[in-house]
Amino acid sequence: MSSLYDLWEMCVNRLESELSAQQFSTWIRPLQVISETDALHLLAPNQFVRDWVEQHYRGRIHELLSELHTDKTPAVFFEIGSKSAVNTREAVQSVNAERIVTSSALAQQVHHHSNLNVTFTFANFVEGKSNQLARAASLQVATNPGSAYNPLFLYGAVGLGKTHLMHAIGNHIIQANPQAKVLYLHSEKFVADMVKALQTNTINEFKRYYRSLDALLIDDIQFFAGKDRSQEEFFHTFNALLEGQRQMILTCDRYPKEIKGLEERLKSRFGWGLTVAVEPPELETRVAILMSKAAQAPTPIQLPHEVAFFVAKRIRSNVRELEGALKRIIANAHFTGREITLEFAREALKDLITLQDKLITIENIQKTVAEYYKIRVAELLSSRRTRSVARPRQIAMALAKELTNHSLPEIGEAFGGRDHTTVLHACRAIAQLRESNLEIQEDFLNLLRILST
Amino acid sequence: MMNQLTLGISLRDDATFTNFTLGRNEATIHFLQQFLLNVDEINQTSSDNHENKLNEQMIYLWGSVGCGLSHLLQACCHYVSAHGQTSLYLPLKQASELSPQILEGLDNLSFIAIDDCDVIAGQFSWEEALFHFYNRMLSSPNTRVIFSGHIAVKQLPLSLPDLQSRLNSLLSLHVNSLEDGEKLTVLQSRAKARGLEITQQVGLFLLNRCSRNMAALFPILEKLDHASLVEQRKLTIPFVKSVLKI
Repeated sequence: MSSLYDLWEMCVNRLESELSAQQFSTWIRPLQVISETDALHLLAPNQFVRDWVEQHYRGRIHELLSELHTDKTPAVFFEIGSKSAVNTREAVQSVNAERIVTSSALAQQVHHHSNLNVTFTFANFVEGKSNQLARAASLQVATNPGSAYNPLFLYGAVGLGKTHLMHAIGNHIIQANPQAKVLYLHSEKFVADMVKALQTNTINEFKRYYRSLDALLIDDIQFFAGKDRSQEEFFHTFNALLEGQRQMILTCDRYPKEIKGLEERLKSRFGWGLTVAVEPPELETRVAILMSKAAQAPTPIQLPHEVAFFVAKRIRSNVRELEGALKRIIANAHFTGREITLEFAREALKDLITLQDKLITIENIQKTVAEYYKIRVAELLSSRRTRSVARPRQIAMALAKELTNHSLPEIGEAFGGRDHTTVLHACRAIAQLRESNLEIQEDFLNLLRILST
Repeated sequence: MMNQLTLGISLRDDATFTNFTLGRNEATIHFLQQFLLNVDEINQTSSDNHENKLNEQMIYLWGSVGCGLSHLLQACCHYVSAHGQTSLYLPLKQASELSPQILEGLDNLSFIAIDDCDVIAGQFSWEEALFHFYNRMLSSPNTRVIFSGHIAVKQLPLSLPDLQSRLNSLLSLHVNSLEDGEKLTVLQSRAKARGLEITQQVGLFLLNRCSRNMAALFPILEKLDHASLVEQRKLTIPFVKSVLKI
């Protein structure tokens, strides 16, 4: 048996030397292998990869195997699945290697997983004016599931804490009643489970499972839009759960009536319970969120107040963006071993908080340099050679070389059709002047700062 | 004079951490290696290391064209394989040949690299597939994911705000382009691996007259290598000029 694994290993090594690093990493690295007597089963993570590998590499794999194997060449089967899926199923029943796809709905029936993220709790939800109503309603629902507000419909723009509240409710319900069957899932998962149930003829088990829950938490239900069969099934699940006084919690990026492509009867039912908006957090709440997230980081840090204010003032849109900014500051602090100060944060976030450096173009450099020296861009591009124009032009060329990836001929072309040797001369001249002339050095650094921060 | 016929074999350039020129990216590369190891290995091998404490599952890498993002992501796949784990590298610049279905069922892999995210901005089916992929990965904490693009995450012109906000929440790391001197070194070492010599003078000529973007310079090197072999000539400036018609 192990010799077939060795054989596959040799085959992979040969493929690695024949294919480009990109082809090999895209199509061969994700394959897993299981071997039987005289047969290799190549497991691809999905149908697309399997079909591609089979179509493009089947022949070569066969050739290599027959070349490398002195005895009878093993049969090769291209399948969808993974070793871990096979192992799980083998523990339950002996499997036919061709049927590796498992129905996640069925798997869930055997072992119920709530999918809840235990780190999202009411305790670490930062409350502010923008979300206090949503938090209060969520706490009510968590304390009296199935009876307070049913369904609870939380809506608002992305990254404002709807999912956090949803998980917090689920965690609270389970804490109060560890036997409670709570399920959190994204709407896409509900659709995928239903499709699989239809494909595997297990739709009745699917229905039974979903209707047996004590609380069903579905995130981003706007993704049901246009999926009529899923909406139909969800409608019945919804009714069954509500009739049984089981709790439904839904989140969406907009008010129910505004969801396009959703059946009217569903929209109307979503409004039966309580519909609450979550608004973008105001400055003080953003500061509190940052301080709280910093304290909960894997290596907790004490974020200086002025740094939290600095970030919160500049990043207003949503909590996820705040989170990304905070991660960047913490990572940079780890990389450099420096203390987190206002200046440090400004440096770490320069590309997040400025729009200027989204694209440093030659045009942008010309405009900035012209403004700095109070001359017109047209003069920079002209053939004038007076010092007051030539020096800024040289600085602009040197900055274009430093800050963009354009070739010297391209830079020359952008400066009124000049030759690349002119650009080269300008870069050398400015490099020398920066050493000898403090004023030029200062101008250059100022422009560099304006353009890149 | 008859030209030398070349064999239909070109030399492969492996994408590994070893042959990636660090430049100003040393801390980033070190972090990536820590990021790729699973939690158990990290605990065993580097208890005093700072980076592992960041504990990220997904990150966003960005840098300008030619800074080596694709090389780095493929090097990550290579690194993960060397540790006996599975990986997949997905170049979205080839999205038109692929299908968003390629993002399904990847939760059993150890590492997934999604390159060129900026390319699919505005293509709703890909954006939605990436969004669902992101959500599925949250339930698969042992899978590490790197998204990459040539612009900062905040400036990705995505049409799906749900995806934009999720990518915004990731730790985003910038990969710096090489300085011209480092580019020259890389060119020379790539050439050397092909048995080709690029003198400093020729290297500087290439950098001054051709693109300064490594992604564009490598195909030029390929072309010069081929021409040098066919014509049995060393790389001199006149020869380079004639081959590249400049």
